[in-house]
Amino acid sequence: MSPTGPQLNPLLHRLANCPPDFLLGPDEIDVTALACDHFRALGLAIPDPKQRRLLAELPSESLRLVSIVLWLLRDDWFVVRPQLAEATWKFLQSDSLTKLAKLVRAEAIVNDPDRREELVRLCLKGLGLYPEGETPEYAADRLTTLDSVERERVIRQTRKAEARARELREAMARRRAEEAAARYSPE
Amino acid sequence: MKCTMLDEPLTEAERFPLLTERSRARLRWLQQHENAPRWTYQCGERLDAAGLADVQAFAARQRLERCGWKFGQAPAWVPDFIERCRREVPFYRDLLSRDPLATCNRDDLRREPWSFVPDWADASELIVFRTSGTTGNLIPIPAHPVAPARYLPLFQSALAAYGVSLIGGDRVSVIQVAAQVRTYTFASISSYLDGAGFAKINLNPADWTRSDDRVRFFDACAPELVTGDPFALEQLAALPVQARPKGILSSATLLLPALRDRLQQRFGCPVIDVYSMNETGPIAFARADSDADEHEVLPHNLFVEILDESGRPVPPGQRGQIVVTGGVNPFLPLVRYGTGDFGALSFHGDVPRLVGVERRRPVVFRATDGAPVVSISVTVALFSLPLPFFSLHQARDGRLTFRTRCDAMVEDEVRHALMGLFGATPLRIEQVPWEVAWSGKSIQYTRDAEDTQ
Repeated sequence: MSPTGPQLNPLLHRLANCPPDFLLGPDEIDVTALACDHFRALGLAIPDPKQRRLLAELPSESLRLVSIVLWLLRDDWFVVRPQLAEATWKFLQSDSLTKLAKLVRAEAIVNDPDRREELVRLCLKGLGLYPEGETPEYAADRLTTLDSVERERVIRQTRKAEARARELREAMARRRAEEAAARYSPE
Repeated sequence: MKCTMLDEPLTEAERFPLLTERSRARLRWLQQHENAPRWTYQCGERLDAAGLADVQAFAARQRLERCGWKFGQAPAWVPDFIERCRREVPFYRDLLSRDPLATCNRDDLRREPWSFVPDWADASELIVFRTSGTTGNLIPIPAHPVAPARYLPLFQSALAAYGVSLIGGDRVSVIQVAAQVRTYTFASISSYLDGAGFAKINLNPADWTRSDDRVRFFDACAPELVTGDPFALEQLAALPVQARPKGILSSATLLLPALRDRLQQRFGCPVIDVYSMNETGPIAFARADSDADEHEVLPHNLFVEILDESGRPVPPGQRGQIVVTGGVNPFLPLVRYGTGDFGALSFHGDVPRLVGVERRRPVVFRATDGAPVVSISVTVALFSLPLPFFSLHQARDGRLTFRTRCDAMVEDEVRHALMGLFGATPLRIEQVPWEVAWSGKSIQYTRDAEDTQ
């Protein structure tokens, strides 16, 4: 099979139009049933109960990304390529998707252009593909950039938040803060 | 080193950045008056020029922008305020991203009070108040110095509804009275009131040198406004003070109408019950035009909702938890903050009022015949009695203990009122000794079954 995948833009567009139902948490939608629907759409038998159970046991934030990925892969380009089913099933349970789910909220995957691109590229990579019109090197580079940008942003924000919390905790403990200011009535 | 420098005790110039010759003289007069109490604390207003300008702008908005909305339609400022909190306040950034309609409460404040402080806040301006939590421990509340000063324009609004205005300037404008075993007392001035004096005093005789100092000092101050809790106000009324304030504001615990009437008669001025909390500042005040237990929402920048157990707003007339958005404290912006108090909303045109405010979770007592008696019914039944404080406890076997401090005639009336609610349920009325009363009691309802939870 050629590793050349679909064009990037239609997939980005499809992801941006992800119906709100696919963003619901696993308490509200049955993600395993969605996955089985996907296999039926490909004209394949659904995964066996053991495999289905493994999927259902994923952490809830991963399951939220799984439903979004399933929406993405219902694009015509994938539906006519049932040979990708096995790689798809592995990708849904992959470390790369689980890690992304821990860092990024499902809503951001759909609403933030960089995160959209990151998921589409991650997905193509997981299926052993790269976007049509790109070289494998460029595709790999671009994914690294998106991934590292996100990681650095999160680390920077966390550090900043921790430093700020420390600053305020110290400020609140000072005698001059404790002395407060005159209040005109009891509470 | 920087921290040590920052933690030096405050100088007078830092406590009172806007002190003038005249207000300094007023401050000295309060501090050094021959009948003044033994001040136990130093505390100033901490307002600089920018802070004063903020309070004056707040006062102008409070005069011009009436508090009001229609049920089901939040005021126009609310969505922007919430969005700003989501962007600028760490606590809401997390909470509202997960659930845009989430509520929060005192437990959230206890866990991480600093996370309520906006990103833009200058930590060197931060001050801390303490409020008691449900388990008796003190929760530190981050605040900006304008927060306590913004109470004054709110008090002016409440007083204006009774035709009273404060003059300020070259006089003592406000005295806060306490009646406790021990509490902070201090002398201060208010730049917002043009340098007028303000003092917090404790009526406990142990705080004063001579027995008549309390009366002499209060009369020498002759304040325009007196604030205090109902017990302290009752203690003040019992002293032979001659000064006549223009108005009295009662807060901290519910002021029963009978005690209000007695205080009004004693001092010849309006006595206004203010429903207020440390985290929110003043929320609502009792109107003169209503005999019912109604409090009109006071700040122009406070949105009040009544929510049911599942967090859904309930229509006017239906009781639920009082939940507020907005508030006077820029370092503690509140978004759907559950007060832990209960009541219903009613609207007079667009002006919202809180009906039957119960300043804690309702308790359901049982009469001997099994009939439920909700704590608010007890409060209402005692409205006509001038009690400074009381508590009602029901033991597991159903026996009731009512604790208060009153004369024999009022005690008979209490018994009568409670029999009207509880029928033949065994009832004991205990007169609380003065030393216990001084510790600052409030209205409390408890049942043994709940104590063990």
